Amino acid sequence: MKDETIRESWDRIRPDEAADARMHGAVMEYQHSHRGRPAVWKWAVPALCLLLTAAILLFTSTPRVQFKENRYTVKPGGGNTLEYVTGEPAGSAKFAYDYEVNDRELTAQEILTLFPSFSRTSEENYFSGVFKTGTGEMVRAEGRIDGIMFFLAQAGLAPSDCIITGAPERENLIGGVPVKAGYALFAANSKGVRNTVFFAEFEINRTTVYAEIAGNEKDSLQLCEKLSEAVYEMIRRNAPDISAVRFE
Amino acid sequence: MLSPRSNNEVEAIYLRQRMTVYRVCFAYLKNPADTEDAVQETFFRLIRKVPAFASEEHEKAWLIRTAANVCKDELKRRYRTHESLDVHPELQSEDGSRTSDVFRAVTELPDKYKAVIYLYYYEGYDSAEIARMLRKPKSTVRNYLHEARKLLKKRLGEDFYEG
Repeated sequence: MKDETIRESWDRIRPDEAADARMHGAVMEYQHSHRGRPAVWKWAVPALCLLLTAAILLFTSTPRVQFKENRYTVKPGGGNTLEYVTGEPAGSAKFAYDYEVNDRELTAQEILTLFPSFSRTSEENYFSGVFKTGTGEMVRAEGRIDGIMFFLAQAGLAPSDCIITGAPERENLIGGVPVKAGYALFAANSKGVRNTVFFAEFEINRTTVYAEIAGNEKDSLQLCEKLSEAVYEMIRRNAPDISAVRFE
Repeated sequence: MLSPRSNNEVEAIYLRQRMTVYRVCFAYLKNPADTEDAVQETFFRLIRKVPAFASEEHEKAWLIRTAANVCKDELKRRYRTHESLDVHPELQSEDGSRTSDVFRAVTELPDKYKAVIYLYYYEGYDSAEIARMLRKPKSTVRNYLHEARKLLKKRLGEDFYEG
């Protein structure tokens, strides 16, 4: 430890027993109430309608996402095929700057400027940007919108510090833009539940976009479709453009 | 999209990470009452968002980032509404022990340095690990550490050494 005093001083910072009990109680109460929602009776009718619709769709159309030979295939917007192949997160990319930078959170309006296809703003949506000191240009940004994590970077910079190996062996053309896509599975937890992450990367407006969505393995088809539609919508709307946001 | 975590899973994460989250929040908010609220909000977000974690380190990194964001939001809200923080008495006293002097100096650092300083000095991570955890460029983390050390040296004088 570089300075034991700093460690000692932090050791003394701890909640007293009563505060610890209050926090523990509040967190578990919130967990119970959150897991308790939505009430079954309240959602029974809409859920039945959805089930009926899903059943009809199942018998009248082919699935939008297909899984075959370890590849997920989807046609976002009914156009070209986007194919996700298996990959593993490994190692980290060069993530340094040769110039001074500062960062700040983006406003809701700035998020909308970058992602016009996501009109829904909520407290769950957030984004922060890294800006070049002096010029004010945004060089990197990352955040979560509607359940999808986005990492943006000026062309030539790695959008994320995580390198996914073995994934993008094939490039897909969506709206004329090459898109690399893949997915990876996490190890199962103690209950045997596995999570999966789908990711896609492309370049548009001199902006490299890396997007990923994670969730329970059993929801893979929906996750894959949601990410694919988001990618399709961004390209269709010629977004995002990292130069559209500056440090003010 | 993710299935909600079971009560046992949430409780296990809380018991595993509560001290880390508490200390990060305290470094920003400087008093037990606000820290308690921020800790709760951090775990509420964990329950609502159901993030997937590849490991306990990943889980800790997510909670530290979220706790820092919760605290920054609270400080911004107070700034907008002109509310001041109730600073813990031990952090206000000038005649406290060396330990409290040191911790006071840490809490007085600019907010952007606090999580980095916590992870470096208390948790013992190196700058590359911190960059990955906080999803910041390594150069930014190194710069934060350098600036924070300069400030700590200035405030603590001989009491501060890097070892």
